Amino acid sequence: MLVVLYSERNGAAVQFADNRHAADDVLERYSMGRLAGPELTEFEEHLLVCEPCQDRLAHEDNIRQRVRDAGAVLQEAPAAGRSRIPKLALALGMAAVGLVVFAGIGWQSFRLSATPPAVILLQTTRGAENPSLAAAPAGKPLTLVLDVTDLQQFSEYGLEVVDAAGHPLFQSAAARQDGKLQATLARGLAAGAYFVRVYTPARELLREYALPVRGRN
Amino acid sequence: MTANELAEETADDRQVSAHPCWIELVEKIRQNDPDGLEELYRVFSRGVRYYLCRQLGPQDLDDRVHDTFIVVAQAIQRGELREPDRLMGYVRTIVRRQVAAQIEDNVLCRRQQFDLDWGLAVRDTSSNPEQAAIRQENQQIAVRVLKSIAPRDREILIRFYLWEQSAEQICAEMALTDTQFRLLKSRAKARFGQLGRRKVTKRLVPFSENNWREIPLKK
Repeated sequence: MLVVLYSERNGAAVQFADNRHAADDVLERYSMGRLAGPELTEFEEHLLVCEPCQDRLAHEDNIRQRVRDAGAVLQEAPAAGRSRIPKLALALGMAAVGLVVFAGIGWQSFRLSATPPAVILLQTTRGAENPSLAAAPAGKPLTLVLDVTDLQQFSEYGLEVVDAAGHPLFQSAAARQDGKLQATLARGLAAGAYFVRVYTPARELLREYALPVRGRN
Repeated sequence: MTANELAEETADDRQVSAHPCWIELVEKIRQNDPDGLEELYRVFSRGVRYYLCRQLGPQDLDDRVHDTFIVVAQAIQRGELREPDRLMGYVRTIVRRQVAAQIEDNVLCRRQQFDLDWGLAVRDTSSNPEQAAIRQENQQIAVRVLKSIAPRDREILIRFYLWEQSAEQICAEMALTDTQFRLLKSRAKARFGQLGRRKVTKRLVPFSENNWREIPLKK
């Protein structure tokens, strides 16, 4: 049974199934951020004191997120599989790509030697993971400055940059100066998620910093 | 009826948290009666926690919930709640203000970090390679589940959740009536959730010494 309750207070109309809990449609719209005005007010007030609706909303959020993640992957897959390139064109294409890559490497090394490195300060702060936070620029030399003031003191520390899967890409050692370690990645990094790890001289992991690298939009 | 369905039905039969008479509760809090404060916490703590966690994430959640209750209790004691029967609305307003203030703090903090002239400040986020791997694995499970459901169910879920099409548009483009759309969507969601749970449960191998195998160390 579906009952529509009209609140005399503000004219809101939220659908409550069985006169107790919000209807599926209301939960879906709230989860998608489409509930507004008096409806939103009334539903949120109900949500504050209704445990079953909190659980149902958590389930709805979960389904929505999973479908969005998986749907995005499925949408990319057919597009990638659709291309049908004749063999000759493919061979010519590969040769052209080879030339472009060769020329690109030459240009890149010329360009990188002339580009001043971007200085990236890595620090530990308490707070939410937020993908919109600052990122290092892709393909540019980077000077990493790591704040290690509260770390155990050693004359030298091991530094390692790993990719998102944990594969080491760059290893180095750096001495502590004014509570900071500094290392330069002359060739920069491609866009992606990286982690910078600080080790003791005996290779014990002391700290790990996230290092997002983004290309230009 | 399966045990799960029975459990779900029982869960849905739970009442909206049995809340007391708001006027009496507000009066108790005004008089600084510990029972009143305890009751306020009992009725709202889960909802406030849930709301704050959904909006701001789990960081500092206990502190935020505590702050919210202090603000609500003090405001009631100062007589700022003029209509005691509107307690739910008042608590919601306070929680929303807390969320807005926290977001404002985050924005301000980020702006100040950008203003420093020695370079970019990159926050140490909590995600690490292990967490990234778990997230990727969950995504792969979701892809397999979405692939395994009926094409029409999959299309409805993708149109509704990913492309965020309206019910009217989906009905028009898939030649469905409103009732058919609701039934199909509901079935697709149930199937997606059910298969997802099954796949995750399958992966949870029960512990036994036989599960262990020696991995030779690389030289």
